[in-house]
Amino acid sequence: MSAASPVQTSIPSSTPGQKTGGRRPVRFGVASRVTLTLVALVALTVLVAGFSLWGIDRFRQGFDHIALERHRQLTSVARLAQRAEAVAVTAPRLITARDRFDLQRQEQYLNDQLNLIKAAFDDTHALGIDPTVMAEMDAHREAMVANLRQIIAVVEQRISVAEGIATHLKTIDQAFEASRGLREGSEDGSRALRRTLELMDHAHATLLQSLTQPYVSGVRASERETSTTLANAFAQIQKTSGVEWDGLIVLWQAVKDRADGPGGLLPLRRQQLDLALTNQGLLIRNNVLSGRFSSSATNLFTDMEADIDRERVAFADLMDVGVALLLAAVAASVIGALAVLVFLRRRVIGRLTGLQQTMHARAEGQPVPIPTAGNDEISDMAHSLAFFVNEIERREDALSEARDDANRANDAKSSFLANMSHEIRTPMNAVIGLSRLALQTPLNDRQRDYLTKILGASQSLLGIINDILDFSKIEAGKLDLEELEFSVTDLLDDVAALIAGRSEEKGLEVVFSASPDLPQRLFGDSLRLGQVLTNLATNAVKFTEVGEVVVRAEVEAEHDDRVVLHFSVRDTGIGLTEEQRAKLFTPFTQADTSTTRRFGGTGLGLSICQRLIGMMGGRIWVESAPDKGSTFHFTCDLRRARPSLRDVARWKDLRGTRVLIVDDNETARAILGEMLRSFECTVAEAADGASALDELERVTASGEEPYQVVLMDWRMPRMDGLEASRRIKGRDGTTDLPVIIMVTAYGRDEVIREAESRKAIDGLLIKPVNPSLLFDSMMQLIGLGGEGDERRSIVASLPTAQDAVGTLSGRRALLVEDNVLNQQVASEILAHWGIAVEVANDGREGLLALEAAGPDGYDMVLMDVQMPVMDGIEATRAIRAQDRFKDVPIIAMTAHALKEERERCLDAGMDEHVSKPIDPEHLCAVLIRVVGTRPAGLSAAAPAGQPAAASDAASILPDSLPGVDVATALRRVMGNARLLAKLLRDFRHQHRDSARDLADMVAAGDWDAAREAAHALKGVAGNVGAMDVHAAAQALEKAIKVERLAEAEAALPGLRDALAIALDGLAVLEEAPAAPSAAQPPAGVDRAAVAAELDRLQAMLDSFDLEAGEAARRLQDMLGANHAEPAGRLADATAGLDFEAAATALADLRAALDNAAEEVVAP
Amino acid sequence: MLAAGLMLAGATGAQAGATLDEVKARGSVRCGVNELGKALGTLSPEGQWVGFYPEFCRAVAAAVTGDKDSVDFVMVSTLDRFDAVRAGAVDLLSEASTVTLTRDAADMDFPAVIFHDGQGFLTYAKDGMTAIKDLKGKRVCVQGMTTSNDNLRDFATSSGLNVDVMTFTTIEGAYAAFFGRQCEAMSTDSLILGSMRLSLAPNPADYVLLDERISHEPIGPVVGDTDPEWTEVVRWVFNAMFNAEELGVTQANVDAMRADGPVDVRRLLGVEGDMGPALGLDGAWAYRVIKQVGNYADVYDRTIGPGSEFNLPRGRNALIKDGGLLWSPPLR
Repeated sequence: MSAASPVQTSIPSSTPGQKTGGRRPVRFGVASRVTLTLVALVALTVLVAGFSLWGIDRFRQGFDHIALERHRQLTSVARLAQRAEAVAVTAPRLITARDRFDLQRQEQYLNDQLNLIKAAFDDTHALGIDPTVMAEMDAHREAMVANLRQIIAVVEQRISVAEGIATHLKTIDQAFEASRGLREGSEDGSRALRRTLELMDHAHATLLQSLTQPYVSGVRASERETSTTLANAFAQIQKTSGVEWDGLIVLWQAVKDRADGPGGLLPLRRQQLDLALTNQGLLIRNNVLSGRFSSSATNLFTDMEADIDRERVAFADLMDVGVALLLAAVAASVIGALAVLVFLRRRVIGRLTGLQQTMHARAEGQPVPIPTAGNDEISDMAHSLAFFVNEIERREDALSEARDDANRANDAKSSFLANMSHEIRTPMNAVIGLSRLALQTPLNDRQRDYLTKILGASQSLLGIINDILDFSKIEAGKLDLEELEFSVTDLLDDVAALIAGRSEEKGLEVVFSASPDLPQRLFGDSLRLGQVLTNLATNAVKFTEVGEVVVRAEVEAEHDDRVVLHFSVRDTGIGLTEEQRAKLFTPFTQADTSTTRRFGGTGLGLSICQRLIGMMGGRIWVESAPDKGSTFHFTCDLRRARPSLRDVARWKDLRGTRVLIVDDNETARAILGEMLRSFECTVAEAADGASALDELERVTASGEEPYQVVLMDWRMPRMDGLEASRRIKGRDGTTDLPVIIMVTAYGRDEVIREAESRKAIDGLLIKPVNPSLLFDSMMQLIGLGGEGDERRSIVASLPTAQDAVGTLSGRRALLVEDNVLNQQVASEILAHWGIAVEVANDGREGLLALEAAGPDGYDMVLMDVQMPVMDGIEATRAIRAQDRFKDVPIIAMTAHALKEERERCLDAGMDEHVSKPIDPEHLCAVLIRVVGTRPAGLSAAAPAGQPAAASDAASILPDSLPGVDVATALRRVMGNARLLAKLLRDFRHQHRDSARDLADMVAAGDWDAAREAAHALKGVAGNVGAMDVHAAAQALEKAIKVERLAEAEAALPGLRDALAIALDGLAVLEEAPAAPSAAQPPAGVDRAAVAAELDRLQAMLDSFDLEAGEAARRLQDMLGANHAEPAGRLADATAGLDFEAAATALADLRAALDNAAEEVVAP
Repeated sequence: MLAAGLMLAGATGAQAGATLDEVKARGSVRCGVNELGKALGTLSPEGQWVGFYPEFCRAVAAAVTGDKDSVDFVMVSTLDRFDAVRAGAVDLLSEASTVTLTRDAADMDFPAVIFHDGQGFLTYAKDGMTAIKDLKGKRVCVQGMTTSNDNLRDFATSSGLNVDVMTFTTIEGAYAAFFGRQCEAMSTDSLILGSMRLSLAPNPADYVLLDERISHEPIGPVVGDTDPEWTEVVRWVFNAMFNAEELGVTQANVDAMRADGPVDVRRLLGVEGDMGPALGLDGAWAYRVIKQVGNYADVYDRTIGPGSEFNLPRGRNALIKDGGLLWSPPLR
């Protein structure tokens, strides 16, 4: 709301849109949030897509790398390894070369292979393979090539060695071939020849054998053998000669040359074996080298594989990350979308819904704040709505303020009027009241005349004021109709009483006619009904110079419990023209401006009537013609009340009573006759005094039953009612004189005075006569009070006043009234009825006086409402706030004749309400109603006392107690000594420490608590008659109220002493109850009943019945003062639900009762 | 005739002293050697057997024939090496044979333990293995008919490493597989692994020999068990080499020591006492061994020790006095 107010006040015309655009360019609204979220999602998507593309690109690069570069590298290395293998394989081929040509061929093949491997190496250079690895491989290759070159060299050697060996063997073979001749002739030759040939063969064999020796050691052995053999052969050769020697020496020389010596067969053979070993070593070396090369290639291959695998794994990881990212992006998108959804639902839709609900709530008038929190479009909207609503509310407020202003103005007007009326009425009250009082004093005629006129003028003025007030109230709609039970006849009586003066003056006959079927009691606002009727009747009298005014009431329609009454007021006055009739009910106009001058009046009367009747559900109209008189009619719809017993009963007692009506007005006679006949009386009529006398004579003479009652009109031509009455009473020879009731519409004081002086009449009835009044009067005069004293009969027309004397006399009233004149008026009226009046000047004084006197100090409080210091309402509330005053009758007196004023009084706790100026009769009726049912207070009850209670008191209470006014206190409790004793005991127990407590409170400065305590003590002390304590407490309370420590402390010792005396004195009460019960048998106790009650209580206690408390109290009542101690203990224990203690008390009580019974029996 | 007889004797020599006589007559010792890489034994491109184990062939030759080069090297393989011994095709087997009960009991004698080896693992450095536990689930190449194979299979079962044992018949096949990256590790005696690495690895630094050993492999020469005299000769040739190291007699100082060495040395070198004849040899046999081949340390340093490319510390294979396991009974 506060956020909205600046908008409201500063730029009411600015819209939220302008505000957004103008003042807050940057903010985080719904659109921003949604946009931001969507942008974030798009950014995320782009990011992920970018990453994916990057990843795919990387993957493709990697794939290319593997597929092309790596693959080529691998292929190349594989080829290299393959070539290396091929080269390695050439080594054994080289080694096994058969001859030089073969070796050459193999060497050329090897060269081809080496070229290929060289090319393969060159290939690898371009492929970016690790150069150190390639260098290593190249080194291996070179070593291998060197090795192969070595092998070739060795193989060449081997081949040449083998060729050498072959040459030697060929030469040796040729030598042996050449020696064939010798061998063929050896059998003939010398022994030496044969021996030499054998040795040479052996040498030949050894040589051949050496070629198969696998180890050098074997070849050496062959060498040694050959050498030995050849040496031996040479020796044999020396034994030969000739051809033999020639041949042999050639052979030997050839063998010796080829076999032995450097370059011989055997050394070559050794060289061959060595070369074989060398070859083998070279081959091993070749194996090692080719193995190394191959391992290098393998390592390269494997490392590449591993690299590729790593790359593959890296790409796989990359792809995994990519997939994860994609999934994350999908998840993020979903979450983002959900977030937007949730945001929209919660922050947008939720808030919109909230806003909507708030608007509904606001529309329904709940003061729900519009949620404008936040800084976005919705809060803008909320702000706008808040602005809108606030604007509406502001306008509403302005409107209601204007309305309130208007109402206040109207109220002020009404209040002004009310105050005015109050202000005017107050002096008017004084004027009227004092005039009335003055008229009751001995006056001369002039004075009386003046006063009467003053009274009349005042009442007329009052009427005008009332009219204005009523009209303004009606106009303001403030006039509420009451719905109270009333009697129509009473109503007519009242109206009659009001117009009686005027009609008497003009000598007009006013006839009231109520149809017999008229319900006696109805619900409605009798006051207002009476006002209308009075107004019409007054007008009728006003505008009628000669003739009569007939007021008639009848039932127009009945349905269920409702009755539509039709009232009419007919006069024989000036009448009205058509034109006048038309304007008749318009306010502030009269039929004729001239008539206004002639007849006076505000011109409001009929307007008020019309409105009141309208409010009562009726209508008002007029039938009239100039100089023909007018008849005003009105109806009203009222609810029927149940007839009272009195209404039903009354008819029986007057049945058959013979009544003579004497009146010159036929209508009046008819009305009275009708009433009497409804009482089942026997009615005769006479039109004047003379005929009445004649009739009486006739009856006396004829021996008919004499008339018991004569209803005599006063004003009659020729002989008036008084004269006629005198003559009737003065008749000789008649023992059964009728009761004469004078029926008159005027000058009651005059009539009464006349009647008193002549003692001719028995009763007086003021017109209009209502059946009830007639009945009552007749009953009084001929029935119950037939012999009633004169005064009673004379004032029969004032029955309330009469009752007042009986009921109200001796009562004490507290009059709370600030206005001295009103004090005087009210006091005199009350004193007139024998009421003792004390006056308080304002509400506070009244309250204090009442508190001082206690609840029984006054029988009634008459409370003005408007007073200075403390007004009547407040005072009443203060009184009612105290429990002890809750039954004290309080009657409001107010000049505010408003209904709400009355209700305010009743709400505050007042019992009744009377308007000022005080109408004594009304006040009397009210007082009787309110106070009459109440037992007389101390002033009335005390002297009478109660004999039984007194004797009771003697047994329970001592006649006097120190510090306690026993007699006064007893009166206060209506003579209930037992109650008083209990109160006193309670007082003693409760206030044992009060003095000290109060001293503590005062010392501690706890004024509130102290005041309360002092006040309570004062009240209680007053009630139980501890008057010294009461006074001391009162003094202390006063000191405390002004919070003066010194005064309070000064008052404390007095209270302490007074309390000590009183409480000490009360100690006797503690033992007192035992004494009488022991001394006297419990005479008042029905022992059997008590025993039964005891048994029942015992059972209740056994079953822990919660009703035991009630039973115990009942028992206590039965026992009265007897066995008060155990009975009290029993009651207390049961009340406290202490069943154990209760059982003990019950046992004690039984024992006490048994003892008492024995004592009674024993004597 | 004589040669044939010698051949015959060589083929059937199954009587006491026959081998010694035969060798003397032949003038050379037939010594079985194996291709174990250039540090342990290989036929060089020059046609010479070089490396640790062939040196001991020469030592025996020096003692018996007087010339260290009087050796007929017979190349055997792991598959047929013991057959060669049993068949008398070789007088002596000098290669990486582990002394075991069954071998000893099966017509063979192990005259000496000349090296304490243990089975290890050779791995490819780029595979990043540093300890045996890294072999979990890996393929391991091994040659069949070796203690290595037996050990590895035992180890594979007991270690729970779930290694995949790939057994090859020939040592070439096994190493071809390993260097051809068919398996992640090669397992056999660590000495062989080191030697083979030197020989076969394209770049030895690319291969790592794990420090741990899964067995103890006492290595020694093998002879047939039909000729105790020959066995003794061989045993004492080795003892002489240990003894010489222990006595401080080296190839370099042997002449000086022979002239004025202490009595032990002089006894060893045949200046005093009858150590030669006791064995059926001449008195200078040990002198020739030291002079021509060297004492144990000389051989070790030259072939696999600090003086070689292998550069293997002595470790357990030091003499007892140096905290190792090798020793010789007294020569007296």
